Amino acid sequence: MNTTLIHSPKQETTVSRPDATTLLSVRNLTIEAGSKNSPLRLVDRFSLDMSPGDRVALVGESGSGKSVTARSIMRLDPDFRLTGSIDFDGQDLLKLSEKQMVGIRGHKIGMVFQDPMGALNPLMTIGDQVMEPLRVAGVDRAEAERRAKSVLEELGVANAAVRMKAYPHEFSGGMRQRVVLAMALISDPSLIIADEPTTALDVRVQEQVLTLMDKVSKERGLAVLLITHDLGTVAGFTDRVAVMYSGRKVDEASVDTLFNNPAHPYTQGLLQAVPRIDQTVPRLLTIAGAPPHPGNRPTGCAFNPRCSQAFDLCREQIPELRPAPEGGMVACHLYPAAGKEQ
Amino acid sequence: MANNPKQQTAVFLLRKFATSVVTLVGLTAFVFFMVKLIPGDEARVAAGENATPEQVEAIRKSLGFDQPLPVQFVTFIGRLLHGDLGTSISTHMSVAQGIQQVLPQTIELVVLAVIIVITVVTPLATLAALHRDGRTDYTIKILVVISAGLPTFWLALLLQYGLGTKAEIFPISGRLSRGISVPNRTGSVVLDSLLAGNPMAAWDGFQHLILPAIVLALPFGAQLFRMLRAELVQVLAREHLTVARAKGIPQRQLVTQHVLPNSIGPSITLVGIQFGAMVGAAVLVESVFGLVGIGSYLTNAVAQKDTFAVLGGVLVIGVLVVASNFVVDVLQLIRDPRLRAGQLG
Repeated sequence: MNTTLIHSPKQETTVSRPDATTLLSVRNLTIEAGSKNSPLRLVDRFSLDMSPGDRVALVGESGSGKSVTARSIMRLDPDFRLTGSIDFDGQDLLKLSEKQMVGIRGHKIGMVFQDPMGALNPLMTIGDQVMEPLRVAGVDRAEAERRAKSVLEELGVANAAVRMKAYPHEFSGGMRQRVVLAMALISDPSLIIADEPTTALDVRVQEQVLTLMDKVSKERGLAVLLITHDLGTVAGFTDRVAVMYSGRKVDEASVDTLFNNPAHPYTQGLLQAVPRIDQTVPRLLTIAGAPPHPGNRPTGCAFNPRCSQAFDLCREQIPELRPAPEGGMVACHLYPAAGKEQ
Repeated sequence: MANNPKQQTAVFLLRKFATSVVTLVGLTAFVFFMVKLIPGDEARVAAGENATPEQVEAIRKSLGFDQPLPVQFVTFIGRLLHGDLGTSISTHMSVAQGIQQVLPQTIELVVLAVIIVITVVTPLATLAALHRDGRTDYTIKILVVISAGLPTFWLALLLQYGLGTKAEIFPISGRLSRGISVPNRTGSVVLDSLLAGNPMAAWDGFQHLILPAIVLALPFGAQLFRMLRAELVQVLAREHLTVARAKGIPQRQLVTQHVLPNSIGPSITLVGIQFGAMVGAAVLVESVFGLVGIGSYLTNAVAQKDTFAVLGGVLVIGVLVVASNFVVDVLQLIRDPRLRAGQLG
């Protein structure tokens, strides 16, 4: 196949190919906001595959589209126009009615959010909020209470039966995040989408919550899609990392490859900005500049104005995702033909 | 401070009650001196038009109006503590009795108006907020602005003509149809009819209330609509709603469990205030629809410089307002656990 064809309208590809055991397969997900006449493309042809039990991180700066992507898998923003396909458990979520989507949310896919302070309804008891997904599914109160208590205990909420009668303002940030996690887990979903679950927490509590998520997801064989801007979080928790920049996936690799042989200059930059215990650097580097606004992307590669290795082609054409030399996929003109066929 | 929740609640209620009493005493003093400022001679009114100056002076003395104002005030308060509102100087009837005859009718009207306001505004505001900036929202908003802008008396005439004279759906005026009468026990026509075992009369009395209640409700409904819609829009944008949606909560439950309870706080306070304001606004509506009520009672009393009748009427309305504020405070506590923690802790 002609791999020099650079600007191909073809589908983006992912590291693992969909097969019988694929749990989630996002294909060319494009997310647009704004009016139909002047649409704002927030995410452009994003693809990702996850198998049951897979743990994948979606990494990027604020505005890269990672959170929008995560929320759109759940179709949480009715104002966004979504195209492409999101195959989950054998059905395309984009083809479901809102009513059918209600049955997916919380029941098949759980979601954990960034700000545990704002995530809970201040007027409802913890217990009622944790039980709610079961109650709307028709589970009777006693059974729902039993399961809520058991999942809260599993998540390390001591004295769960009593604490269920308390209100959110009586809980600390870390405890609230456990409650949010309990709400996501109580219906026994097969996938958890965690949107910056530790960003708003103290460092010590971050560690606790991550350890807990790690433990629970392993025990339950849960697939986790972790959205984060913090590569430090990624290292210990996930198997695979997808890097987003300005609405596109630009890099995807196993954690090992990504940390040791990052392909995309943006990923390299991100890694240089992370303090590491195993390396001594004179000072942490930063990537100069800021990501472009979705309505004002530069021509060619969106990263080219900030890229130290950019050349003419980068300013002219958008690079497509191709296999990277060290494994994984990368969308960068530095790797025109990685030797493998697409 | 007390530690167990029951004691805390008792302390809170007592504190609220004490505040209410202080408010009422302040209100009484204020109204007392304001009434005295109304031009005109009370003794002259009490004595009647043909009384001689000597008779007027004698009556002035017998009513205690010759005493200095502070003394008169203390005497009045003293009687008030015994539950005596005094005697009207123009009708020579007990003020308490006079008010008892008219107040329940006003309350009937106001309560029905409040019910109309709440039951009509809540779904409208919810619909508007859910379709924020959409066609539904604009349509509802325009209707609300128009209905709030209509002058009360004109709207009353319009409804009387349209729904009364033309369509003959509702009676145009009065409290009961001709030929129907019920014994007075509570003063509320609807209640008295039911107590007398006469549901037909109750229904008739209720029908007579509908048009006036609608007219009374409209401007207040518009006010509540604006506040509730704004609050709903704010709550709809909150993170915990996204979280609840992500939990798989259907839209209907989302609205009833997570949106409305979290939005009605300011509205409860507003309705509490509106309740008092409606008692005042009822005067105009009552006069257009030929009803009696506390409004007409007070208007007459002020015109006659009937000190005790004015004081009695204003005090009773004051008690109503204070009581509705008290109810509002309690409702807010029931609604919001954070308030409970702050106020009772």
